[in-house]
Amino acid sequence: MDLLSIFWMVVKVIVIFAGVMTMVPILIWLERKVVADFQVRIGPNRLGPFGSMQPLADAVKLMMKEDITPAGVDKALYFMAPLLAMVPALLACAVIPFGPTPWARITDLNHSLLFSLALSSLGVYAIALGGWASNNKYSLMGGLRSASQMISYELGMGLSIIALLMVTGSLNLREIVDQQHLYGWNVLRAPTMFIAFLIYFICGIAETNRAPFDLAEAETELVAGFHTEYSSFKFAMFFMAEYVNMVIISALATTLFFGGWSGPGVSFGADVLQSLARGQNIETFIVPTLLGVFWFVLKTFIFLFIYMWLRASLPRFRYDQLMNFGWKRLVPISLANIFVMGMFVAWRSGWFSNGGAS
Amino acid sequence: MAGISVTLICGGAAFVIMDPSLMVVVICHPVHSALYLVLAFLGVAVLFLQLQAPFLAAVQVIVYAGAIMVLFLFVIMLLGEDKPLPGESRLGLQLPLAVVFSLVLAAQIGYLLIRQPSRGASVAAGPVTVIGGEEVAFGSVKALGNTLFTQYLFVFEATSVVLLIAMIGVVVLAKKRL
Repeated sequence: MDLLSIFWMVVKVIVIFAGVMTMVPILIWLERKVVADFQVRIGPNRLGPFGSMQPLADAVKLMMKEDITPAGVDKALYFMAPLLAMVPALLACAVIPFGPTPWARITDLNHSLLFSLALSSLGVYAIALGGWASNNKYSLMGGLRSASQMISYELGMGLSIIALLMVTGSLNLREIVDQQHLYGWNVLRAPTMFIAFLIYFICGIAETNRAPFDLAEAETELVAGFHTEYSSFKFAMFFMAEYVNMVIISALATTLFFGGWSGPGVSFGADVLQSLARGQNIETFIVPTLLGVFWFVLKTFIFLFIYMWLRASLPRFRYDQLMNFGWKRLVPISLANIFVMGMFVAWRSGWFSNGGAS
Repeated sequence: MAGISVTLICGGAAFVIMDPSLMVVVICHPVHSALYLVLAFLGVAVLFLQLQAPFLAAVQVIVYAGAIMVLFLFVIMLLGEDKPLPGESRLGLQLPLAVVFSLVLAAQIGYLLIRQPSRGASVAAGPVTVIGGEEVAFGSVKALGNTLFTQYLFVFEATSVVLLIAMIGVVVLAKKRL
């Protein structure tokens, strides 16, 4: 690795992280507007065109607030929890292919899907520890609820992804998208793939603690749940982490099931790679990269809109309903789905047609 | 260059395992020692990565750090962790046994260090297994799955049956009324 490639790597990391962080204020504004529309209100409209500067004002307000450390907290963990929420969320960006060329992704790991799953499984700690370290019964209850919820729904998510993996045969996110560019979106590639997608997305919503699964912060029962005792920038960190996690779940849904960057006008990555290797025609790979990133962001925003749509439409689950739904509905359905998908894969590779010989 | 970085990462990972593992035992606060155990698991995951086994590394993080230790924490938090455990006089026979086993372990490590002259050898090349005429990196999902579902199929299925029995047992014990 020479110095120039390290330099470009650093540039890519900064641009992608900055891009994901910029999504946060945009999403906050969009969410307030969308929810307001659903409730026939106007929403923020004072600051900037259509109130679009409102998140900026919110951020300034949050930072100006007093940073309270309540008595009796576990200091180290109390400070660490918001960081633990933020870091895995941001790290997951490292493996997502945002566009067709190496310019639009940070790494190309062979097991990038596992990497992102591992990171999402570490996100539990932030909430469990934040709730526990605050030395507050409500926080503790919120944290524990959320931890058990996240573990339960991780299972359903993993199982739905297994159904997908049987069709793609690869754990590499770049390869999964490349395949979809050639053979069409994964949701359409197998008959029951849409069920896998639905389960994935439901579990994703539960993982990010969003409505209707936001039991960790059910204000009617738990004040504000795990972040009751957090104020100022530490609260802002939890808040941002939630939004970054939403972005990651939506981006992964796009990548895994809906073709990632592939869309009208984007030429296949391999051609672009070849022209890049020959070192000619910079515009031949700038245009596809930008176009690919455009499609990717567009698809991601559709899923983010669905998040907001659900939040505005659905009431919150009760805790026992949540657990029953996760364990007694989603897990059996995804197991059945894996079975059906296995049959489909076996049929496609000709197990049933020529006397059982493969 | 590559050799140096491998050694550095391995050394760093070893430190990340050793130090928290010590803290797990030394610290009296149950939540903190559980968290140090998580850190040790993450270090082990890094070592797996260094040994060209990315799947095991990911499973280590997902299963041990992400699920099992969260349940540990869960139990510790629910049981009320405020009072630090009385640090002494609980060990009894364990103490001399621990000394004996540590000495045996230290002797084994020392023996390996003396026996193996090429301890700085790099594993960057990585062994390769051949599946269906295709070269597959050792420790990848493909190689691991192939070994599990052909060579060790019986053991694999037997393990899953044992786990199932344990699960049924827990349900029977925990639920009075089914």
